[in-house]
This record gives sequence, structure tokens and C-alpha cells, in this order.
Amino acid sequence: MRVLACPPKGGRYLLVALLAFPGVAHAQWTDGARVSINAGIQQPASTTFAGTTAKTVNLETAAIDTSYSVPHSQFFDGGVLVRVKGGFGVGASVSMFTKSAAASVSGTIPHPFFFNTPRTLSGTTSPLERSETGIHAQAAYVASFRRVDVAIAGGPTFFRVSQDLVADATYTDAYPYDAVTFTGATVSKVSATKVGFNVSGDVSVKLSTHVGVGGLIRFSRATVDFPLTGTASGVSADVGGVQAGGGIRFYF
Amino acid sequence: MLVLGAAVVGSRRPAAQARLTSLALGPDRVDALREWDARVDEMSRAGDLELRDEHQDTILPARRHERMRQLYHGIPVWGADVARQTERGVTISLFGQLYDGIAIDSEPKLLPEDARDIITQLSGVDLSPRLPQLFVLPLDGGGYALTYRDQAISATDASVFFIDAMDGSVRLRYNLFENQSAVVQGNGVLGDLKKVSVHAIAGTFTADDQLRPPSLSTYDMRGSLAAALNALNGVTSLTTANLAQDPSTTWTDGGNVDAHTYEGFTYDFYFKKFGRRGLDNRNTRIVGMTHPVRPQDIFTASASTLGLFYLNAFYCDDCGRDGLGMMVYGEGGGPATFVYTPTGTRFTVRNFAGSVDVVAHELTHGVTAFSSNLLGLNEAGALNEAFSDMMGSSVEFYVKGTGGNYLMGENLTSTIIPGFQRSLQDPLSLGTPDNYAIRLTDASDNGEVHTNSTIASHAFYLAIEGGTNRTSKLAVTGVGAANREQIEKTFYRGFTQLLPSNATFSMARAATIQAARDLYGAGSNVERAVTQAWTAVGVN
Repeated sequence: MRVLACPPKGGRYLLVALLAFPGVAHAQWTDGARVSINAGIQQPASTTFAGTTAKTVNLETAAIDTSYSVPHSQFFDGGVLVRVKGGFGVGASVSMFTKSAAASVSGTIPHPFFFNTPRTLSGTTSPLERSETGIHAQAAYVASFRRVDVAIAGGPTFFRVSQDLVADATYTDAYPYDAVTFTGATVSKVSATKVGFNVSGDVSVKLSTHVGVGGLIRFSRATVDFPLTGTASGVSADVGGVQAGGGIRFYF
Repeated sequence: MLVLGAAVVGSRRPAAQARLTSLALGPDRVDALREWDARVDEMSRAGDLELRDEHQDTILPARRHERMRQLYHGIPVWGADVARQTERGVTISLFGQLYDGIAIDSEPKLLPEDARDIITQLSGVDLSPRLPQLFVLPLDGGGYALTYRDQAISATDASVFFIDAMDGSVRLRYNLFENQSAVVQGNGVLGDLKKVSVHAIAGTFTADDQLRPPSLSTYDMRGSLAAALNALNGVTSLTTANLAQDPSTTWTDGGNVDAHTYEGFTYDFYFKKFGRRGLDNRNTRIVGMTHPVRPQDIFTASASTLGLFYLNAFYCDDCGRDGLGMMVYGEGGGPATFVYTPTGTRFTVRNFAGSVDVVAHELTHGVTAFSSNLLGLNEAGALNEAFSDMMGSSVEFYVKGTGGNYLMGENLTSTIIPGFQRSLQDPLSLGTPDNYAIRLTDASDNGEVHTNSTIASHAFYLAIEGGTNRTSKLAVTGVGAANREQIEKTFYRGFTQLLPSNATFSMARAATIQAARDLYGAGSNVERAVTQAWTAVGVN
């Protein structure tokens, strides 16, 4: 194992761990650049997150708690890596992930006639969409073994995330108002950006001088605070996760 | 919806697609009037406006009125219509609202039956065989939707539904009956904070409950006895201006707060415990009247005024212009006015609205008036008072839970005064009989109806809590406080459904035992408790 200390970027040091193959000699990476296009499965960094909104109803505070889920789903990725010197290069890739899942809503709605007599509310929303776009800036080291390239990369990720959040719950009640019935949720689509990080490994096999196939595994992560009316500090969620997939490579 | 007042053409929504033009054109805007008059004619010829009504003016015979609604491909546009006034063929005015920029598919993908099924599912109301009608619905966010409209009225809700004719989604749902309900808070006579169901209107809140099914209003007579008497006698009608009101969301008039709140609690109690809808079981209106006199006039008031409007609360079952009854809450004497008993005990009297059991007691007289109609004399009168005490105490337990008690009107005075308060638990302690054998038989108070009432109300207490009658020494096994509702239902059924108007104590015993059998079966614990209780109080 060789541990490389890459030049500082943005005041940070990035440590890249390269797994070498003991006893197997590798050649220099000789391509000037390569373009990769991948598709695969993304396992989100956190598959659940929660948020609470509050408002005044009947002179008291009504609290709506929402438990969101983010299941795994397909992602699509495209990027370019340019050799700088020797086996070292820099690059950037863009990945996109979209998935919808219903959220569980629970809450308390104050009674119109009595103080401290809340009515409970529970229900499930229609599917709420999470959409993530990650721009992964990378410093990379590529080792070549005949037709096989092994790339290790890492760097900052610029996340742009939009998420459907439950801003309020709608319900019906009727005299004598001792119960409420959940009828739906008022959903706000909110967006946020955040800088996180990524590390990835890529193995590709050249099928010809300019074309190959390869596999990618990448981990990226950031914690995003979505602004939402009715909350004290927004709704916090982890974004990114493990992306595993494969695709085509073009060498130049 | 018409926009009246200033003559404005072209009041538009900010939305990109749904463009609304409001018309309020009269002779003062003759050019615009002529232009729009021609446009209306053109739209009528093109089939974009449909004549709905045309009639002669009943006040100005030369005038005629037309009402036209806007159509889009033959489908009405909701909320879009025009009213045109003419005189000998010349247009005098145009009022209305029209939409333009409508560009939607006018062929519905859903059948009317599909929309009806959706509304049925949402409302729980079977609408068949009626079918909803197609409308073009202008959307708040801009644009239009082809929708089916129908209304559904259930026992608890009355809503209008607009169902998207393409995908079945609910595009708009609103309450059929306009309801500007609001909840404010207020401090009662005792300073306790409670919620008050009111009506938000013109920058203030009025004591007009919009959340409960019946009309439930509390009027503040602001110390005008003359106005109170006129209203009670039906000489004048009470108006919105007479309603207790406050522009603040925190009310500070304890009498108004408690009267309005406790009337609502009493309605709730009858509905939730017995399924009864108000005094007449048909949601007749409930009217309460506070502050019929001024506190400072107490020293100059006549004895009868003092006894009726200061130190009393009463339900007058045929008062009011409509003869449907009114509650009146005595003003009390305030904290600085002392009242002395014949034995010299000094006490103060609070506003009579401040005691939930008293409010419920008086409203129960309304229930009795609309049901058994027990007479106000002798044993029937005592049973009438007893039933009001039973339900008054029960409402207090309903509101306060374990904090309730069997003392009637304990909040009215600064100290418990025999004659002012009655005890269902231990009548003798406050000077009223706990047994038929020691009942009073003189003619005072219509045959001592208030005094003798505790014979029956003590039986009610014993049937719930159990215990031993102090006079007969007979013990009763009650159903227990946790089963209070069983006895409440039994006495409610007996007193409102089974008793005649001139009932006796003996009849009340038989009626409540029968009610216990009806509800819980012969030989049940309830029947046993009720039978033992009446026997213990000497009624056979």
C-alpha cells in the first residue's frame, strides 16, 4: 500500500489510498484523457431523515412530524479525467439521482374547545421526490496493467439537492372535534446546495485503443439543511451515498 | 361574486393564464359601458354567454334585468357571470366578472358517474342518482381546470367538491355554509383561562359560536334592564350589535366568557353523552343574556329585580321574539358588595355565569321544557329542579373530570350558603331534605320545588356513588364513579322520555327503573342501584 499526500486544494489535504497489487508490475497511464459514462445503483448516505413543522392552531401549537425515507435507486454519471503528469490526473464528473418515496406524517392538533387536549394525526403522504446532482471534482491516480486501468480518486463534491418536504398537513374534523382525519400534506419543493466530499475507485478494461468498459464505486456525502417555513432551523438530511455501477469509457 | 362600487375595468389576477375582468360600469363610465355592452352582445351571439334569467324591475317598471353566465365550449365557467340593467333597450349598467385566456381540453376523460363516486367516497354521502355538472374552474394559481361540481351534505359536514374531469383529483373543496369561526381565549368569572368559540366579523369577535351545530349566541345587555326586558318579552329582537364582543383575542369579561363557553359545554355534554342535539333535539338556537343590570344599581334595585336579575339565573322557555327561550345570567353583586343572611353571615355573590353547573342546570330546564315538560309545581316541579341539578352536576364532571362535585353553584358565593347552594351528596348539610318522609309540603316556592328537589337528586347521587341515606339509614350500592354515565343515561332517559308532565316522585322511581332495564337489562347492577337509591330516599 502506498499512501499519497496530494497537493492541498482549498486549504484541505486529501489522502488517497492506493491499493497496489503485490508482485504485479504496472505501467504508466499513457492516455491524455478519458471520458466515462456510468449507470448503476445509489445507496443513499442516510435512508431516513425527519422534520418537524409547527404552527398555531386554536391558540396552541400544532406540531407535524414527518419521517422521510430515501430508498436506493438508479444513478447516472458522466465525467472526464485528464492526465497531468505520470499517473496523476484531475477530473470532474456529474452524477444524478432521483427517487420518490412516501413519508409518514404524525402530529398533534389542538382542540378548538379545550386547552391541553390535542388530537392526534397520522397518515402517509403521496410520493415525495428527492433529486440530487453531484459535481465531483477529483484528483486521481491511475495505474495501468496491460489493458486494465485502476483509478483511485477523491475530492470535493458540490451537491445541488431538491427535496419535497411536508410544510403542513391537511385534515378534516367535525363537531365535536375530538378527532381529526388526515387528508393529505402540503408539500414544498425546496432546494439547497452544499459542499461535501467524494472518494472513488474505477476499474476499466480497454476493448480497443479508444473504447473500453469499466466499473465505478464512489462514496460521497454532505449534510444539507433545507429551509422550510414553520421550522426553527430547517430540515437536515444527509445526501450522497454509495454509488456502484458501470459503463463505457472513451480514451484519448 | 360581483365587484361593486368603483367603476373598474380590467382588474386582473396576476396568474399567467387565468385572466379575470371585473365589470362595474354605470352611466358615469359611458364609453366603457358602451364598449362592454357591445362585447357582451358579441359574446352572447358567439355562445360564450348564456342568458340565465330576464325579468322586469319590480320597483322601476321601465327597467329590465338580464343575467348571463359565461360558457367555454358550452361549459359554464364557475363564478363568471354578468348582470345587465337596461331601460327601453339602452344599457344602464353592467356588473360582473368574466375570464379570458381559457385554453383547455373540454372533453372530460372521466364520466360524471366517476366523479360522483369520488365525491361519495370523500364525503360518505350517497349522491345517486344525481350526477355532478361540468364546470370550468379558474384556479388560484393560474390557469383553468375542467371539473365536475357537486355538493354533499352529511350530518357533520356540508362541502362543495370540484373533481378534475381528467384525473379525478380534488381541485377545490369548500364549505357550503360560510363559516368564519374563530377561537379566542378568555378569563372566566373565577379568572380561569378557557377557549371561546366566536365569530370573526368586521374586525371584532362576537359571541356567536360557529363551530357547534346550533346557533349559540350570548348577548351582552350592557346593564340595560329595559333592553333586556324588551328582548325577553319579544318586544324587540336582539341584533348583532347586542352580541357580547371584543376586538381582542383575549377576552376579559368573565361573565361573557363563562356564559358563552358553558352554554357550549352543556350542548356538548348532551350530544356526546346522549346523542341529543340541543334543547329540543333539533338544534334549536340557544340564546344567553348577560349583564341585564348594572352592578352599581344593586343598591337601588327593587327586591324583585334584585332576586331576578342580580342574585339569580333563569331559563325562560318561551322568551324572545321567536318564543324559543332565553337564558339570563344574574349579575351578582361583585366583589365589593356584601350580602347578609338572616343569621348575619356576610358573603359576596359572583356573576351567575361563572358556575358551569348553574348554566347547565338552567339550560336543562330547556331540555325538560322540550321533552317531558314537567310542571313547575309541587312534586313535578321538584323533579324538574332535581333533573336540572343532576344534569348540572354531570356537566361539571364532564368539564372538570375528577375535579367535579355534587355541590350546585358552589362558585357563586364567597362562602357556601344554605339555600344558595344545594348538595346532592348530603342535602341535609345545606338544609334540604334527603328523604321523602321529611319533604316540605307548604305552598311556598310553588310547593317547595327547590327544597324538595334534593330527595330525587340525592337518589341520583346514591345510585352513582353509593352510600347510606342519613334519614332512612338504608345503604345503597352504587355503580361507582367510573360508571357514572350509566346512571346519567338512565335518569336522562327516565326524565326526558318516560315521565309525564305532572309526574310524581313515585312515577320518577318507576320511570328510571324502567329506563335502567331498557338500557342495561332487568337485574343489572344499574337497575339494582337505582332501585336501592329510590328506596333509600323513601320513594316507593
